[in-house]
Amino acid sequence: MDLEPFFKPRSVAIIGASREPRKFGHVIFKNFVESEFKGKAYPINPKAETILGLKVYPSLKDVPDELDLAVIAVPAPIVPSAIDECLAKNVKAAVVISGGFREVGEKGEKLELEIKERTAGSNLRIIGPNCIGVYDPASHVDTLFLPTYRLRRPKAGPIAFISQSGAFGSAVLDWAASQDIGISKFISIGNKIDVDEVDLLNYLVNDPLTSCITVYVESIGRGREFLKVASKVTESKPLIVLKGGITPEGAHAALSHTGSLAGSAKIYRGALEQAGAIQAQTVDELFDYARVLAYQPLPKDQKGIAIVTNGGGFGVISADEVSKLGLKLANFSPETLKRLQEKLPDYAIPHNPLDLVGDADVERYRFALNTVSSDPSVGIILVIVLLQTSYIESDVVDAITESQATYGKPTIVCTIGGDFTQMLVKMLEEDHTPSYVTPERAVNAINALIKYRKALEDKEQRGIG
Amino acid sequence: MKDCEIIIQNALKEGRPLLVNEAQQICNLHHIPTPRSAKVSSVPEAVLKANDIGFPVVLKIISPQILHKSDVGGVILNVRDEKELEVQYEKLLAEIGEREPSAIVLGVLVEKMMPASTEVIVGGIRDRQFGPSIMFGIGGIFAEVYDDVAFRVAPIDKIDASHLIHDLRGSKILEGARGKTPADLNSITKILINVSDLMMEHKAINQLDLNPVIVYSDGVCAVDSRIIIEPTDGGF
Repeated sequence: MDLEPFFKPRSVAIIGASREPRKFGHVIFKNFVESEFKGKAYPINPKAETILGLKVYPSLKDVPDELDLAVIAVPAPIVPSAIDECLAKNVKAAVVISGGFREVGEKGEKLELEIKERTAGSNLRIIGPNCIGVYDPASHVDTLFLPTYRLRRPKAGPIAFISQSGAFGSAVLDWAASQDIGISKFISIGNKIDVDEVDLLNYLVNDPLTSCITVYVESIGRGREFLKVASKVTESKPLIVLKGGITPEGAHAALSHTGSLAGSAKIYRGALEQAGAIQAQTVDELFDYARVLAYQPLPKDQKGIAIVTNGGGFGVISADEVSKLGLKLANFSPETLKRLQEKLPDYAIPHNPLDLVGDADVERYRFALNTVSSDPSVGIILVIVLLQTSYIESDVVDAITESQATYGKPTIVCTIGGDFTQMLVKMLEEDHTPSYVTPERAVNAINALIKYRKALEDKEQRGIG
Repeated sequence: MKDCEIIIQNALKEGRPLLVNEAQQICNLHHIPTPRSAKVSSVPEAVLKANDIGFPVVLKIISPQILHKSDVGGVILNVRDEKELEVQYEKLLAEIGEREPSAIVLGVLVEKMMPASTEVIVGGIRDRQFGPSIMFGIGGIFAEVYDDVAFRVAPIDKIDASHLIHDLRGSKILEGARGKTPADLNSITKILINVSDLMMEHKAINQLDLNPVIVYSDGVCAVDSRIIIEPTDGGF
């Protein structure tokens, strides 16, 4: 069950490497050659002499080296014979990029069965087929057949991302790169002929580079095993799941009320909750939650939320959202109120949400953040900072990250705006402070943080009980 | 629970669904509270048992061909005394004879009529992905209309049961909204865990309804139960 060769291969063969720059086999080979990938990359193609100036091998058996990983990018009907080559060469892992399998019907399904028969009892592990494979920014394994000028690769970071859909996965990766979101590993699992989400969770739970796992799945094949491993994962790492694909509600024969009420979406929801996983309903939520859960500490107890803002409206909307989700605002202590009253201008009313008003400068933010963060009744701080006013400079980022570092309380930012705002958002992201463009999204992210905390409390209680 | 398995295997062998009294027996063997009841096959016997159980009573038709009893007039509620019982018993049989002429009637279940209170549904289902799973919801004849249900995969523990209860939009009703006395959440927890055990233990049970389960401030009672069985294929 060792998946290491997918992520840290010492040698990799690209079966179907091509001279034609637009072919998948070319792009993938180029990824390995032109990146800082430390291992050896061997192009395999019986009809080519050299690719990118490097010697091409007609078949796997001609490669004068042991092979950890094979990336297979040949037409579906040839894949079984490529697998035979892998088996003969004792390759440890194969990523089958090729499409044309179960997703196209009976003929493709037969090809999958053929592969399964060949690999039964062997040590060869397979990701795919019909997938875009693996991207690992630490080891520079990159089987994505999409050129880097089309699909920017995200930098290294703490978030692992498993996607059943390749197209969805690649679009999200490109977006993550543009948002400066760091990825530990990306795996597109496609038709899951062998390696599935259960195997990957089992691997990622022990991956030191991953501190938060995001999953996009349309179906879970091994429900009970998934539940088990997901429960294990969430003991140490937050797990966020976006379940796509509405399975028909009438999956159960309605011989009973329970049967007619049992939509698969409802059972998925229950199972994920039971595992302590956080459920995302949209793509936005998947990474909104991942960023806060990967970057910020959990609140120490279920104390209230403090809102600090320089825009009254955003403060009010945030407070509404807090109550809508059944969360609570912190009641500032008398001492906090007194200190705020003393230092803040008369027109800033010291209550929660704390409106520092439009002329708030960085010093006022620094004072307010330190004051509310030191209040024992405050568990989480939501900082709304609208950067359109000329009073605020970019060192507001320092004020935010410093009070976070001093008091160790989860701190989330809400800000929206153009170039100047974007620059500060990137600075915050660098400092691992997640920021959101609307109060709704910020408060939802806070809710995810609290949900995960509650899930851990449940686990602790189970441990005692 | 060898006795339960015998009941289930007998029905499977005879190729028939579980009868209402058998479903109730299985519930009782798993410590799921149901109304006091007795299977009878004549008016004098019904009178005798009803007096023993105490009026008012409910009459339910027992027939392997009738799964949805209420739909064909197979349930008569609130029979208050002997005189009513004599009339209603005959009426029940006549009604079934007319609406389900081919149904084989094996008897009538005389059951204690439980006082009205908040109604919930407790269900079990063998899901293709997750295997045996438990459902809890706001129930009664309008369970599908409210569609306020939550699921957990079996086996469940007390914490899961508590989440099942609090996941419902209508959980406030159980906690005693608008001056109502709060429902006995402990007993609800117990019934959920017992159904979970039942689903885990008997692989032939494919679907299960306890609907309604009437919840009181002290205790609960599954006043109707339906258990759908299927030969197992060695799966979940």
